[in-house]
Formats: sequence, C-alpha cells, structure tokens
Amino acid sequence: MNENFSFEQALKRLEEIVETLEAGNISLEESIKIYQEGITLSKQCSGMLEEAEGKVMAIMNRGETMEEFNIS
Amino acid sequence: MSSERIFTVTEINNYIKYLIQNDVLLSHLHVKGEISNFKLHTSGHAYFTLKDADSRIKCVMFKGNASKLKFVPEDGCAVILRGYFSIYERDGQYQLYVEDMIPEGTGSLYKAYEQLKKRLSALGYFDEARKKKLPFLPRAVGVVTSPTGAAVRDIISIIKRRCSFVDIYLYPVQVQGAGAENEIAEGIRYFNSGRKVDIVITGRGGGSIEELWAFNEEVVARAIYESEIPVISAVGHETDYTIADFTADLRAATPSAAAELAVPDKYNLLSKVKQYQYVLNSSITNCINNKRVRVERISKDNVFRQLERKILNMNQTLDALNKYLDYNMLNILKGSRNELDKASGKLGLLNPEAALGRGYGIVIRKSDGRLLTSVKEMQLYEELDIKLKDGTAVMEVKELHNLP
Repeated sequence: MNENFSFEQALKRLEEIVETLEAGNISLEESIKIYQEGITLSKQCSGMLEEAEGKVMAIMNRGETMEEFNIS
Repeated sequence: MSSERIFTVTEINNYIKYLIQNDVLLSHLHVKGEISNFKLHTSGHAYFTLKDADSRIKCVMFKGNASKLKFVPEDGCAVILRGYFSIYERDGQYQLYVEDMIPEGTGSLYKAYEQLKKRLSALGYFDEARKKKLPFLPRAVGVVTSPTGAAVRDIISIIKRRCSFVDIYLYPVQVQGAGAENEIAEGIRYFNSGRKVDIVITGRGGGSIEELWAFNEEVVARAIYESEIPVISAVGHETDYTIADFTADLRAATPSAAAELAVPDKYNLLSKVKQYQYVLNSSITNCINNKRVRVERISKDNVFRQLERKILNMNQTLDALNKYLDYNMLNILKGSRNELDKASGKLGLLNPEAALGRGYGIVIRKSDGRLLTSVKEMQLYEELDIKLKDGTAVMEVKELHNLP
C-alpha cells in the first residue's frame, strides 16, 4: 500500500470522474483518458478495503511491550 | 452458646427496624448532602444516594412525594432532605425515606465541574475552530479505556465489524478510582509520541457522576487538548457530558457510537466503489456509442447531403458557365471576324485602284500630278496620264465638253 495514497482523495477524484463521464460533454480522447484513471483509482480503493484483517494489540508496561488482545 | 437464643435474619432486621422507627431523632429529621446515582424508576419512585466527602446514605422517595417536587433532582445537586429512617428488611439495608427535598445551592462536585468548564472554555479548550477533522479512513485506532467491561468490547467488535483491516491498539487504564485520570492522560500522550494511530478513542461505559469523574479532570482535558491525533470521547451514556467530551474533537454518546464514528463501514464503501466502476464502464461505452452514432448520423444528415448536392449543383453550374463562356467567346470572335471582313470589304470598295479592273481609269495631270475629277480642271492640249489596271497612257486634251 502506498503510504501517500489517500482513500478519501481517491474516492473524491473517482466521483468527479464518474460525474464528468456521465455528463458526457468532453472529447472522446479525454473520456478515455479519465476512464483509465478512474479504473485505476477504483482498483486502488477496493484493494485497500479488501486488505487482510488488522491486528488488535494491547500496550503493556506503559508502552514497553505489546501483546495480542482478545476480547472475551 | 446453646443456652442463648438464636435469631433468624428476619427477626434481627425486624428488631433493628423497630429500634430505628422508635428513635425520636431518626423518626423525623433533616439531612443535607449531595445527590448521586439518582434514578427515577418507571414506578415513579426515586432511588438515590445522599453523600458528602466521606460517607453516604441510601435514600428512597416514593411516588407520592417525588411527584410533588418542583425541580428535577440531578446527580451533584446539593439538597436538604426531610424524612425518617427505616430498614428495608429484604436487604437489611437502612435507608432514608424522603418526604421532601429542597435544593441547597449546587453540589461541590458539580461546582468543581462548572468551574473547570468555565476556566477551560476561557482557555479555548472547547473552541470548535481548533477541533481536528477525523480522517476518513483510519489505518489504525488507539483506544484508551479499561481492558475489562463492555466499553472495550463494544469498541473493538464494532470496529472489526465495520472495517476489519483497521489495526486497534488498546492502552489499558483504570477509568475510575484514584489516579485513573493520570493513566487516561498518559494513554493519550502515549499514542501521540508513537504516532502509530490515526484516531484515539477514550471513554468508558455508564456510571455515576463519581465513576465518570476522571473524565472531568483537567489533566485528561489537557492531554486531549494537546493531542495532535484527533480524539473521540465516549463517556457514559447519551445524557452524560464530561469535560473530556467538550474538549474532544468529537463527542460520541456511547463507546459503540465512538467506534461507528471512528471508522466507515467498509461494505458501504466497497459497494460504492463497485458502483462507480460500473458507472465508469457504462459511461465510457455510452460515450463511444454516442460518438459513433453521431458520426453515422452526420454522414446521413440532410444538411450534409444538401451540402453535397449543392456542391454537385455548383459544379454543374460551373460547367455550364464554362461552356457558355466558351460559346460566347467564340461568338464574339466570330462577330469580330465578320466585322473585320465587312470593314475590309468596305475598304476594298473605297480603294480607287480596285475600280481600275472594272474599266475605270484615273486621270492625273502630268504637269503637277494632281488627280482630276472634272473637265473644268483641264486645259486644252495639256498632257494627262490615264492610269488603267495594268499601266498608264499619256493623252493630250483635244476638246473639252461640259455635260449638257
């Protein structure tokens, strides 16, 4: 995952692209260009959402150690 | 021991009740203190604790009396109660049976709360302008709360359910009792030093005003205020407002609500992204189809065809004009030729020499070479040249006769 990737920004840009494409008043060339950008963004977004399960850790001894935490 | 009487629990409770009820002081008195744990039961009876700094008394106020109150008793209210003591045999619990209640200023905890709130407000702790925006999709959430109890369970399970890939770091603390406020503040500062998380949630489940008190301490408020990571507070229930709640970037009504505010629902987002993908695909297909249809339509378009026809027509006109031009030129040339011919013919007629061939002669006076056209110009016996078609003859005038 790219650290600089902002899901929010990507989603916003994706929304813009969808709106622009739907309105349909741009050239074919431009349409294809932003379509490709949109597909790339949507794949990045869904890729991020489908990432593996995160961990749950408890911080012990005032931050000296860490251990897995299970809710009972 | 066997010689002594052995009492049952009920007998003893009844006896104590008898003693209390017959005590002159305890059967009618006024007691002042601060209300805590106030609960108005659906039956209409009110149950609460009256306390001061060191001690507490259980109180009950039955519906008949409670309904006559002109104010709503709240935790922290300092009040003076009128009533009598008796014992609730089932629990062996003595309690103050309250007949009337009057407020006495405001309670000391409440006062402390109001004072701190005022001071921190003046310091800008609660300013909306300095509140940080929560990240849309945090990668990791820090939780500062008790490792036992419903709050931590609710927070973790809700975050996991909504956004399973988010990492959760729990900084376990005591949320009530001595030193709880320092542990909570430390937890918030720990996450700020490590920068491992994008949001911090701190809070606890419901409880009395005393149990929630750590979240009314300045040290917690300061840790929240100084946090560079957005903090969500979630203390007690919907109706509980602590200093931590006012200071936090976002106040959640409950720990569960905090978890819901901290992370979006991943399935909602996924379906949104999938929907966008679908719209992208259908839009581009539409777009291409539209352009294709347009190209086809334009080529079939009447205007376009009319234009074509117009060009053909113009070509035809041009051809015609060309032809006409050629024809005209020819005519003009022909006309000119005729004129020329005619003119040359006329010219030919005017040439005197042309007449010589037809039997005419030209008379020229020999002496001066003048062309003579009348006998009156002539002298008897002078010499004249008579010019004919093929030569000149010299003549002498013998006689002159005028025309009659």
